[in-house]
Amino acid sequence: MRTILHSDLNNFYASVEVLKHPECKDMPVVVCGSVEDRHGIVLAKNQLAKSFGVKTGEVLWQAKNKCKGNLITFTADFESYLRVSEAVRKIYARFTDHIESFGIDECWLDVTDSLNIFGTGEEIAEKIRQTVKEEIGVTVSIGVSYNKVFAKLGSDMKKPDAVTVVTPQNYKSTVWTLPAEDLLYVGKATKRKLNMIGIHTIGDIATADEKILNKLLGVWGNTLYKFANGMDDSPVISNKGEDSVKSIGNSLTDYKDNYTFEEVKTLILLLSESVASRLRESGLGKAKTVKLTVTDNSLLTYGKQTKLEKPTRSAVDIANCAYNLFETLYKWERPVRGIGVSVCDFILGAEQLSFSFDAEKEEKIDKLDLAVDKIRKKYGNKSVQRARILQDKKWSSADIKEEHVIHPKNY
Amino acid sequence: MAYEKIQIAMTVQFLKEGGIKPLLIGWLDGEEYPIDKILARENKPSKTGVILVERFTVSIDGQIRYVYYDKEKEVWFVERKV
Repeated sequence: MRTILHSDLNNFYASVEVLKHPECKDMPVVVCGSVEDRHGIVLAKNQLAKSFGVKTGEVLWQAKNKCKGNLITFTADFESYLRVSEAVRKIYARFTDHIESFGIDECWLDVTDSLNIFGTGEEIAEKIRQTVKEEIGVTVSIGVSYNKVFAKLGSDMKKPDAVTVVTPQNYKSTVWTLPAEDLLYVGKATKRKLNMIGIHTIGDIATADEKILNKLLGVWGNTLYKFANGMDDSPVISNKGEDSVKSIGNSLTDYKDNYTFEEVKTLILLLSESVASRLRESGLGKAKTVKLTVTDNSLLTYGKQTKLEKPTRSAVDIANCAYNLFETLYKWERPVRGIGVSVCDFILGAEQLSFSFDAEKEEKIDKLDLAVDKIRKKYGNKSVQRARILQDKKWSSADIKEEHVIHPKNY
Repeated sequence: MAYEKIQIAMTVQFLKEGGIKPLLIGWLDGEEYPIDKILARENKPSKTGVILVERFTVSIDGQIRYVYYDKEKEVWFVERKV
C-alpha cells in the first residue's frame, strides 16, 4: 500500500503578506489584484477575514463592508509567493523526491520509499508541518492516505496547521460524510447533476450504481466512483523537470466584468503572448492543441480544446484558435470575469514540410517573435506590446508572463 | 511587540568547502564586534517582515545574539524592539 501526502499551504497569499507585514498579524487581511483599483477582487484572505465572511472572488468593497472598514488589503506579489512556494518545496524534498505540484500552494508527496528512514506517513507529515512553520513562518495542512484523492480530501478536513490521516479503516466515517463537491473534479455543474439524482455526499457517490453514474456523467462517472471508493491509483508524478511538462498555460482574473467579444479578445491575446513566449523559451517545440477556459462572474468555469491545423509556437496562431474556441464555447449568459489559455501536445524537431505558400510568411513571423523575445528579455516583458493591448491601460502595465504562472498539472 | 530591521555591515569568510562564515559585525557607529562563536545557523522567520532569511545565533563578547542574513538582497541585519 502506498503512503501519499497532500500538503496545502493555508491561505497562502495572505499568509505570505502577513509574514511580510507582521504588524497585520491580528487583522483581517486580503490580497487582491490591485490596491489602487478599488474595484479589485479578493484573490485570497487570512483566517480572520474568513471569520468575517469574506469570500475569494468577491469585490473589494463587499469584503470591506463585511469587516466594517478594518480590512487590510495588499496587492498580489507573485514573486514573493513563488519564492516561498519554492522554499517549502525544498523542505518536502528532504523527505522524498516524488513531489507533484498542484498549483502554487499544493503538492502531493509519495513517501512510500521514505518510511524506513523517517517513520510513518503521519510522522513524516508532522515533521513537515513543524518544519515549514518553524523555518518559513507559514502553515500547512496535510492529508495522509493511501491514494492521492483521499490525501487531498484529508488536507481539507482540518485547517490550518494540522495533519489528518485517512486510512482504509476510517475513510467511510471521514471522507464519505463530506459533500460530493469536495471530491476532485466535481464542479458546480457536476454537483447539480448529482444532486438531481439524490447524490449529495461522497459516500452517496461511492455507494451509487456505477452504471447510473456512467449514464449521468459519462466516463467521469466511473472515475468519480473509483475516487470515492479509494480506488485511485494515479501516481505522484514529479513535475519539476521540463520532461514532465504536459502543458504550458496562463490564466487571469480580470478586475472588471467583460461584456463584449472585443474585450475578451484583448485578454486572450495577452495570455497567448505569454504562453507562446514561454513555449519558445521552454524548448519543447511547437504545440498541437490549444485549450481555453472561461470563467463567468459567478465564478463558473467552462473549457474547450481543439487541435491546430498546424503545430505552432506563435502567439497570433494560438490567439486566433482561442478566439474561435471562445465563440463556439461561450453563450454570453453572464459577463466574463476570467480567461485561461494553455497549449499542449508538443512536437519537437523535424515537422512535416508544408507546401503552403504561407511557409515563408510563417518563417518571418517566427523570426519576428524570436526578435521580440530578445527585446523583452533585455528590456522587460512590457517593452514591446501589441497595439490592441496598449488600448487598455490596465493590461498594458501588467506583466502576465512574470506574475501569473500556472504550474503544469499532471493529474 | 513590533520589531524593526537594522542593517549592519558584516565581514565574512568564504569557506573552502563552500558557504560563508560571518566574522565581524560593523555596527552603526562604526564600531566593530568580532563574533567569537557561531552557535547555530537555521532558517527562521524574521519578526521584521523579511521573508526566507537565515538566522545565525552568535556569541559576541560572551553575549548571545541573533543576526539575520537575507540571501535574496545580500543584506545582514539584526532586529530591534520598537
